[in-house]
Amino acid sequence: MKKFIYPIFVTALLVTLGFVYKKYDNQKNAVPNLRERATEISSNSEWLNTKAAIETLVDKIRRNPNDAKAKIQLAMAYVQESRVSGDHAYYDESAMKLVEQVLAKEPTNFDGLCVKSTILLSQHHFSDALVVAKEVVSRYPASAFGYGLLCDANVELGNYPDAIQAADKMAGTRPDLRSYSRVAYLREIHGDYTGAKEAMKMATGAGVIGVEQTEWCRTQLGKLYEATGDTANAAMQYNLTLSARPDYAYALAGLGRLAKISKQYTEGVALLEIANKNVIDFSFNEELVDLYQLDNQPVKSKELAQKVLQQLALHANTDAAEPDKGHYADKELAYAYLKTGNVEKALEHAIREWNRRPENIDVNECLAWVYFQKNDVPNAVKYIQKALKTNSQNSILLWRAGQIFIQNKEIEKGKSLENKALQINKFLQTI
Amino acid sequence: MKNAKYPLSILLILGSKIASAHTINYQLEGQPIGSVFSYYAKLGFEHIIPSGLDHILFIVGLYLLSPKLKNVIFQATAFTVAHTITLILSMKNLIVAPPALVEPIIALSIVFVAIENILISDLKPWRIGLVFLFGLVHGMGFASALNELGLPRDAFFTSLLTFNFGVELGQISVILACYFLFGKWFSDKNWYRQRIVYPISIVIALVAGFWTFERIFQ
Repeated sequence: MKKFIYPIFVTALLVTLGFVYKKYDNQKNAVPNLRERATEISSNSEWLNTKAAIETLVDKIRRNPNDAKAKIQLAMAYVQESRVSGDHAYYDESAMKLVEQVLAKEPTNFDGLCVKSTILLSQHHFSDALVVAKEVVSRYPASAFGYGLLCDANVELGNYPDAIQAADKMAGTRPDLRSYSRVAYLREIHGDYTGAKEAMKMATGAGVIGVEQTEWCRTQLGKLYEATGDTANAAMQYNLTLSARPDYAYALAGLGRLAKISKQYTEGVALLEIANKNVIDFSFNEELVDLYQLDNQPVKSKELAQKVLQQLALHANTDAAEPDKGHYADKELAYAYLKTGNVEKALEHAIREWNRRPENIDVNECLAWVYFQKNDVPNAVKYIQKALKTNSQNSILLWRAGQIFIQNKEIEKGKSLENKALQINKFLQTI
Repeated sequence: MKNAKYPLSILLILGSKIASAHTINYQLEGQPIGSVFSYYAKLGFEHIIPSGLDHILFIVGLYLLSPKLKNVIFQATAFTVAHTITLILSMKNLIVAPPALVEPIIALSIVFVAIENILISDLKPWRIGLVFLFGLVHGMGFASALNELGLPRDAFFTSLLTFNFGVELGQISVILACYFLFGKWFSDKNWYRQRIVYPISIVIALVAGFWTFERIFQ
């Protein structure tokens, strides 16, 4: 009997290894399902249509696991659902799984590569997204969408001249909502708010009223007005969006922010609470943390600040060994830790994000602001200078830069930046 | 005040294999070699002690088979050579191992070593081979940790080797701890296997068995 124990033991090991592999393989090839939406955004015909279309695709793939076209369509549907529901963690991973299955068999599949780059951008895996976008453009140079991907990845990595080049090429190839909105963003970060608003108006004009993409652009137009202190026009854009797409979370959040500016804190809380129920977006919670505080609800504010940290940590995945999984959310975590007063943790996350994209102006601003909170003025100056390199006229950036330069004894320069920030956005102090 | 900007990526509206390089640590680029060395050596060490309980149990398992120095050295060398190979290949992106596959196998390797300690009492040639194979898998696990923080491009091999050096220091510390905790005092006792090797191996097998189950079905 004793002589059989060892062979039985080795056999058991091999069987378990086989089981581990089989389980992994099944998981890799499983068809991910659609999740139910929050009640507030599920009671319309669009949701019913989406549900029916997705169920058909899932069924098609279950019947024929080699149906690449259906897999790509389902992946695209999940990317869109991720935008609508805000459940990026689940849908991006599900879409990536489907795309990888297709690309394993057809490595140059155009739609597959485009969806993959899109998901990587959504997950903030920008370097990887750039590699795939470059492949799309080199293989399919006539595709405007490829240039859009290239533009987005370069913007996020801080390669601004390359991003402008890609956006120009995109707009030249296909002038539409997608290209105009990119032009708008590039103008905004280069300090041209007037040009940005013009381009974003063109984007909304090029889209179909009520469709999510168009209304997203309209809320962005509202935000551009908001950023320059034009609250009346901002409110008009948000209300227009809500008339075309009731309960649209980003428009509700916009109105919530405007309520905060006009010191109607209870109304602001109510609007952001609805937005928060409709879509998972950490920025809504961050706004709510401030609004609860202003609305004399300090306990709620504190509790929510902690909850934001927990949620971010839950959704974020800093495991670069598994690039198809999880979102990098270190910049968001850095700001969230600052809000709870944990500067050391904020610095850890800000540095981690900076390591991924040292040229991006937002990341440099974040790192500079964390160093400033840590009273490390020389480092704060070093990074804020980088954040100012595109001549962005974002009032918050300018105000922060002003604070940092004043602390660095460059009083005149600092005061001038603060004044400029207040000129651009007269409501800055109430934000 | 808050950062009111959204990443442009959210605007994407639809309508290969990535040959990406390793994650880059820009902050350590251009830094003195001493800083790079201490940073990665510390990182490697911490990946064993205190963070790598699974790796610690694996090393304890290797030590428990036989307290003879020769046996410990043979196994530790096979393990080190193997994990160094896969660590380098992983960081060079020549191999890509999904954690969903690697992590359960790491746990399973610990179960195997622990149970084998009960079944055999001396070092067999196949044990070295198996330790080598398991070392290959553990190396991929080390690569995950290293990938999180990235490597500076101008000191790729220095940082990689110092990380590995840190891992080795961690492993040696575990072996020394085993030696001074029980090996030195009890290994020549005739009850050593019954009272030390069996109970500890059973505990290790149970813990790692739980991890295996958890990692497969998570």
